[in-house]
Amino acid sequence: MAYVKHWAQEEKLNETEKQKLEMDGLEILKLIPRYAKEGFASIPKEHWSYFKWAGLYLQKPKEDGYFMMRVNVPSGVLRHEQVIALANIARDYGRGIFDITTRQAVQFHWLQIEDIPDIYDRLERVGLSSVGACGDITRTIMGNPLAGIDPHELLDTQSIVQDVYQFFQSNEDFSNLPRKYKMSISSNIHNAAHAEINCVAFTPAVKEIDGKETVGFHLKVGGGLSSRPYLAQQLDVFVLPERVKEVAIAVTTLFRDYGYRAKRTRARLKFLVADWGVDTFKEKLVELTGPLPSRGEDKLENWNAGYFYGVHPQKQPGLSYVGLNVPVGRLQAEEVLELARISKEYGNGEIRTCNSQNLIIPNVPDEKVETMLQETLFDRIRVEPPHFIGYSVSCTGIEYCNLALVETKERMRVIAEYLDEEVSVDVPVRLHMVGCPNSCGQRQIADIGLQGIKMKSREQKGLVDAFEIYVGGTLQDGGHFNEKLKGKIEAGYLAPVLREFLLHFKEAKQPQENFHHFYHRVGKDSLQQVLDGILADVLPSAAS
Amino acid sequence: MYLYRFQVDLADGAIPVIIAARDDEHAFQLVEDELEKHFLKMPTGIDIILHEKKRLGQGTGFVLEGEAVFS
Repeated sequence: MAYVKHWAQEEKLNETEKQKLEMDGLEILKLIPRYAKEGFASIPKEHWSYFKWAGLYLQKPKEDGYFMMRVNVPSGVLRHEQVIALANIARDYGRGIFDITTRQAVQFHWLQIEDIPDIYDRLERVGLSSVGACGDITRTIMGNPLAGIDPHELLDTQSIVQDVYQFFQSNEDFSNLPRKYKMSISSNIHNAAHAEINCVAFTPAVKEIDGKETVGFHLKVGGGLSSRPYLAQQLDVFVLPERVKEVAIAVTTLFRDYGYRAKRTRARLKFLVADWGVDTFKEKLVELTGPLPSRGEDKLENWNAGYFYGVHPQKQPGLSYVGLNVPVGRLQAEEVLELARISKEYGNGEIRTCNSQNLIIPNVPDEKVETMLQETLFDRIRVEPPHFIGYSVSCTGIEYCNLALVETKERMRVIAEYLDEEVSVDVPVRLHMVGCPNSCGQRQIADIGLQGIKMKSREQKGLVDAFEIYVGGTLQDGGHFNEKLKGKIEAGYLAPVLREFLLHFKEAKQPQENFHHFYHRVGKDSLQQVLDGILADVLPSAAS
Repeated sequence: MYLYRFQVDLADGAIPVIIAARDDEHAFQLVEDELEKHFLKMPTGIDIILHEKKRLGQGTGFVLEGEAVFS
């Protein structure tokens, strides 16, 4: 360790910080082999939280000893042998469940401590790791899933992402950050990596330097969702590609050394940025990096929300990539193995994961595309999915999460498929369902966000799952978080209420107008009135 | 144990209620107990809504904002 933890002397450290000073999070990696031999019962409860640094969370109920594991997939790029290894882990240890997360990671469930050493060996053999996928550390780096093949990127960011990822991976100088720390690096002009909701984001830009137009990045800092969401703000700097790692290290150093450790609820980088302001943050940054050129020309054009459905030409002539829908991000191990076979047979074996919980098969010669699309796997994992199942996102929900209040994943899938049968609309509507106020399902950026609550009414027996509706979220033009409409909807009525709400949208919208534009045109109050009317009609006894 | 954030909807407004409990069912029961202690005459037709829960430990808490509070 090459730095001094000056905060160790601070008077007001939260309990987690005190614990982290006693034992660094990465130390758990040395203990896992012993715990694996001696069994779950041998793990002291005070060590449970350290497993986050190993990419492991205890599922609920924690006492049962089953783990969720998140595997880093920087920029979403997976080679053939990596796909196979991940599918086999899901099949052999994870009851076949293979989830794609909203940060392009892969997530398993039902793992036991005895399995972890073998899983780690399998991951290491193919160059993957779960270390740092959770915990107060640099998480997997989100990026452009089309990096290297993207006609809409200014430069190929694969090597930059790998370089930065490998620098921070298991790096003890940065394993004790004040809180989770999320980075994105993308040169895609459609903001594929959701710059505004990352702690630090590198976005495509150009600048004339020494009379020559130079490609590089702009830098946004201080974004993040959780229960207190903030949009990242741009600093007045231009970062050359060869300086991305240096700047990433500098920002992370500022967070490590100046981030707040008194209260965990104010520990994310966004609070430091909000307090300092972007000008002070830049001053502190250049103290570490030396001078950085001022901002150039921003090349972000719009926001594609991480969706790439259909067959598209790559920047390499003669090759195509195929964007596929994975309903609410959940695959079975057998499907992943089949996907691996298909990607090898028709492409080069790679698959790419998207932050929309979907995936891409790249590098398919144009002449093979039509034959590939005849594969039966694509009956479910569709290339041109219907508009609701195709644009639905869900968190893990109560099935595995200790903090979720309601079931989400299967519910979102069923409702989306119902809506596809009932409502035909000419634009996609992005529906995000979450089981609590935290943001694993990124509710705040959805066109329509559905947040789970539990409800007990005097007119009803027992507890019921219910939902609140939020409207108008986007990351277009710097971003806008969705806003809550009044009213609560019992889960059993959610599908018909959404049906009516979306039928209203269909009837009142202009041709090709998306939900975001519609929301801004008609206003929140108008949508509230519409919802009130629907609740009065559809929920005869519970209209609020 | 968890710390729960509830909202109780009455005819004329909403009240936030915070409860520590071992599980959701127990938490709802405790909210009712607290309401019975709070009101001289128990209001009818109320809805008890669970919005959020956090693992209970030193310093666990909620900030309550944006809800109308009636005494």
